[in-house]
Amino acid sequence: MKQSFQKTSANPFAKRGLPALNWVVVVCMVLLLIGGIFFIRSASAMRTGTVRLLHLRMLYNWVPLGLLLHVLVARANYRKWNDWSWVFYAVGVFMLLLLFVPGLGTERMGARRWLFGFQPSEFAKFSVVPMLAFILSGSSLRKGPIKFLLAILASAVPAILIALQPDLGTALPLVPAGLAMAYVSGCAPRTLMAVCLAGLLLTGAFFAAVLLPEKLPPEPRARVEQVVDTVIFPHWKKRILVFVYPERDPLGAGWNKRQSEIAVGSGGLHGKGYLKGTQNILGFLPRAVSSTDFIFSVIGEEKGFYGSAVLLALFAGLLGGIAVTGLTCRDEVGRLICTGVAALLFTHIFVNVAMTIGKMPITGIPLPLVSYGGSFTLSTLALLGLVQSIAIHGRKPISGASGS
Amino acid sequence: MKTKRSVGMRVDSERLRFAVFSGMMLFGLVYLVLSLYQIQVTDTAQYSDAQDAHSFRRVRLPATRGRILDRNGVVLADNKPSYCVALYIEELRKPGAWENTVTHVDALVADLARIIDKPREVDRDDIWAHIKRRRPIPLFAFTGLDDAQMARLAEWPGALPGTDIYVGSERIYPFADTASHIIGYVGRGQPREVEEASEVEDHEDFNFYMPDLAGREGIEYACDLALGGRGGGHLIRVNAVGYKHEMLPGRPAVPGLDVMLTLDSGLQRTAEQALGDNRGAAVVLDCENGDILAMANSPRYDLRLFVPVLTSETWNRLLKDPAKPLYNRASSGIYPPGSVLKPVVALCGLRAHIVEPDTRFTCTGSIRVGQRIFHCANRYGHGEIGLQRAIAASCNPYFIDMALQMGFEPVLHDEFAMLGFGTAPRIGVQTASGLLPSSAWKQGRFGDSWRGGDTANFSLGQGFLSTTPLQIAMMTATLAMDGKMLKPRLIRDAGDGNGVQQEPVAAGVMNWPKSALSVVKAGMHDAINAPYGTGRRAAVPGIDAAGKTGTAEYYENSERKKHAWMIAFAPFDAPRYAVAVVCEDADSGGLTAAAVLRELFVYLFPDSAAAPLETPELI
Repeated sequence: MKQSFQKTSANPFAKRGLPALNWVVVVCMVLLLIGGIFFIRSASAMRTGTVRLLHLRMLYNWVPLGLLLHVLVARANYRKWNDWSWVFYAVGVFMLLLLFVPGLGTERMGARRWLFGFQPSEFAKFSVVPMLAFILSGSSLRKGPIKFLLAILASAVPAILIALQPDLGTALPLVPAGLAMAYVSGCAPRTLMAVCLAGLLLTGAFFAAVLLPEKLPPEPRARVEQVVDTVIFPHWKKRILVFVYPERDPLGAGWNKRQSEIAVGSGGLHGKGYLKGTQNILGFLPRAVSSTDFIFSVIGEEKGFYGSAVLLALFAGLLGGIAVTGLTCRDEVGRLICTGVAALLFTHIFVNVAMTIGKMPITGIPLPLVSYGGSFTLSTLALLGLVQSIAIHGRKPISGASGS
Repeated sequence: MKTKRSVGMRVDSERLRFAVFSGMMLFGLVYLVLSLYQIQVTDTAQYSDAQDAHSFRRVRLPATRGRILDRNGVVLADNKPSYCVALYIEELRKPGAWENTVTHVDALVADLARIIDKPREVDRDDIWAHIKRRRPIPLFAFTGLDDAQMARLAEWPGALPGTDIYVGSERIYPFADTASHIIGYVGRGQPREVEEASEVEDHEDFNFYMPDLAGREGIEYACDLALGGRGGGHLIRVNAVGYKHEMLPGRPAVPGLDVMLTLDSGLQRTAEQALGDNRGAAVVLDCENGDILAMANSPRYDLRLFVPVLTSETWNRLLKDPAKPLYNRASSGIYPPGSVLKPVVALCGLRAHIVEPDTRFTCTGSIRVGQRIFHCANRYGHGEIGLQRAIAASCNPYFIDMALQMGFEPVLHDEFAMLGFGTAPRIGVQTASGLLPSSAWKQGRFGDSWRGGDTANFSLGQGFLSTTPLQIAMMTATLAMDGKMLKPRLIRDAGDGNGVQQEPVAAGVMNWPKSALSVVKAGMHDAINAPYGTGRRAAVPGIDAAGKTGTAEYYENSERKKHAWMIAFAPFDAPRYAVAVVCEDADSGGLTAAAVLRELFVYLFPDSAAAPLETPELI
C-alpha cells in the first residue's frame, strides 16, 4: 500500500528533467496573466490620461513583482514555515487594525482600504490560509470542537475587520475557504451543516430585512427601515435592492448589471473581435470598473463563448492542478493549504463571472490573475507560490515527529 | 499495526473529502459554462437586439445654476437658455484612416459656420482631440446660438447628417460691469474622468456629457457648490446609428441655490459711477453688522464678454490693458495708506500718554529725522498746534514726533496687527493681505535694522506698509464703533441652508480709552466740517460726518505720483456707514477722493439737504 502511495505521488515532470513544479498550474497561470494584460488594454483603450496605460502598469509593475514573490514563496519549504504562520497572521490582523487609526488609512469612495497605497486585506487573506491549515492540522488539539471554534475565530476576525472597511467583496471568499478547509480536515458534516445553516439564516435575515419593509404599509415601514438602516451599510442594501429590482436604478448600479449582461450576451459564439467590443469601446460598460471587476464582460463580448470557455478551461486547469498537488501531498498541512487556495480562487472566479452575467448581486470581486489590481495580483501569485512550494516539497518523506 | 491502519484510513477519508470538494468546484465551473452557453449562444440574438436596436445612452442634464442677488433681491446674475450644435462623430465616420473622418467633420463645421453665419469655435486640432479622447460623446461645434442663427439652421433645406441641437443654459448679467470683480465669471466644465481605476464603484459616467457651468472667479467660484446644484440624467433610446428614438425618465437635475450678497446694487453703481475715470476703489461697510454694502472698482470689465465663451483675443486684451481691468483693487489692490491711518497713531499716543489732548507742538513745516527731512503738507508750517487740529489739518511733524517718542515696536506694530493689517480678511472672494512690516522683516528682507526714518514714514502711512482698501474700510468702521471690530461680510445667504446672516460676528475689541477716542473723533469731525479741514470738500449739508484724508506718494518709473485716499463715517453720533475711497495717480485725498465720497454720502442719506444728484439710471 505504501508503494502505491509513492507511485501516485511521483511527479511526471520530474522524470523529464524539469524542476519538480506543478507545470499545469504554471502554464495556466502564465496564460491567464497574459490574457489579462491584453484585455486590460482593451478595457482601458478609450480612457484618457494615465489610466489609459493600465495594462502597462500591470505588465511592468504588478506581474513582475508578483512573480518574484511567487518564486520566493515557492522556494521556501512550507513545512518549515508552517510553525510561523501565526506570525504572518498576526501581522495581517495588525495591519487591518492600523486602517482604523485616523490618519493612516486612506479613504476612497467611502471605504478605508488603503495603507500607503497597499490593501492590507489582501495580505490578510494570504495569511489566513496557512493559519487555518496550522490550526486544523494541529495534532495537539485532535479533532475536538475547540479546534473548529479556533478555526472559525481565526477566519472570522480578519473577515469582520475587512467587512467593516467596508469591503464585503474581499471578506466574502474567506467564508467558503474556511468551510472547505474545515470539511477536508475532517470536521463532522453535521457541524458544518449547522454552520452553513446559520450562515444561510443570517443571509436570509439580511435579505428579508432589506426586502420585507417594502411590503409593509407606509407607517410601520418608515420605522422598520430606520432600524434596518442603522444595522446595514447603505450600499449593501442598495445592491441587494438593485439585484432584485434592477429597474429601480436604471442609471446607476442597475445600469452596470444590464450593460454587462448585454456585453456578454451580444458577444455570441465568436465574439466581436479584440478591441471591437462596442459595449466596451463606446463606454456602455462602465469604464471605471471594466478593467477590474467587469473584465470578464470585455472578454465575453470581444471573444464570445469560445473565449469565455477557454478562459474557464484555464481556470479549471489551474484549480485541477492545485487539486492534484493537494491529493499527492504527503501531509495534512499541504493538503489543507491547497484546499484553502483552491477555495479562495474558486469563490472569486464563480462570484465574478456569475455577477457579470446577472446570476448574482454586483459585488466588488475581481477575477484572479486577469483583473487589473496591485495588491490583489500580489496576493494571488503568493498563494499560488504556496501551492508550488507544496508541489516541490510536499512529496518528500516527512522528517520529524509526525513522519515515519 | 492497529494505529497504522487507522492513519491510513484517515488519509483515505481525507482524500475522499478532498475529491468531493474538487468535484464541487468542477460542478460550479460547469454551471458557469452552461449559463454562458445559454446567454452567448442560445439567447444571443436577444442581447444583440438589445444592443443594436434599442440601446440606451445615458445623458447627463446639467442643473440650472443658482442666481446671485444683491441684499434687496435685485438679480446680479441669472440664466437663459442657450442653443448648441452637437455633432455625432460615430455617424460621421468615414471609411479608412481617421484622417478622412476629421476632414469630413472639418468640412461640415465650415458648412455649418456658413449656414448659420457664426464664426467657427472648433478647429481641426479640436476635432482630433475630441476623436482621440471623447469619441462616444458629441462634439459641440457651436454654442450660444441666437434666434436668428437658430432660424437659419432650422430652415436649411439640405440634409445635415450627424447634427443635432441641444439646449443648455448660459449666464446673463443684467448690469454688465457692475460688481464684475465680485460676481466673477463661469466657464464650461470638462467631462470628469476618474483617475484611479480603484476609486470607482458607485461612480456614474455618461455616454453624453452636457458640461455644467463651473465658477472660475469671484462669487461664481467661491459659492460654486451651492450655485451649481446637482446634474441629473436620463436615458435616451437610440437606434443603430445613434439617432434619438425616445426619451425615458431618469433622475431630474437639482437646481442650484440662489446666493445673496450684502451689496446694495444701487450704492454699488453709485460708487462705480463716482469713481468715474479714476483708477481706484471704494468700499462701504455697514458699521453695525460688518456687511459690505459696496465694493467698487474702476476700471471694470463687462461680464457679458464671458458669455457664451470668452475669446482668447478679448482675454489677452484684458490681460494686457495697462489699467488692469481684471484686477479687484478693492480687496486685492495694495496701496500705501498715507495719512488715513493717523487717527490710529494718535490713539496709540494718547493711550501711552506720549501726548495728552492739550499737548501743543510747534510745526515749522518740516522735521529732521536722522539724515532725512520730512515735510508737512503745509510747507510754511502749522505753527503751534494741538492734537485735534493736527488730525484735522493732517500735520506730519506732529505725528512723526509722537511716533518717534512711542517707538515702532511693540506699540505701533502690535496695534496695526490687531486691527488686521498684514492679514487677508476672509469674505469669500479673493483678498490680499498687504504688508505690515516689522524690524525682523526688514532685517530679513534688506539686511538692515529698523531706523527712526522708518518709524517716521510709518506714522504717515508711507514706506513699507501696504494695505487694501477693504482693510482701510474695516479700520474706519472700527474707529466709528469706538474700537469694536466686526468680521466683514460679503455673502448674506450662501445658499448653504443657514439662511440669511444678519447677526454681526465680533472679531475683537481695541483697547482705546474713551477720552482719547473723543479727541481723535473730534479731529476727524473737524477734518470734514472745519474750514481748515483737509476733507472739507466731502461735506454735505445735513450730514454729520467725520473722516480723514490721505495722500500717499509712490514712484512709478522714477516719476513721483500720488494715491488719493479718504475715509469717513456717518452719522457722527451714531455711525451707520464707514467708507474708504482710493484713487490712483490723483491730485490729493482732499480733492479727488473727497469728491467721490461726497457722492456716496448723497446716495446713503437721500434726505440730506444736498442738491439732488441725478439718480443712476438702471441699465
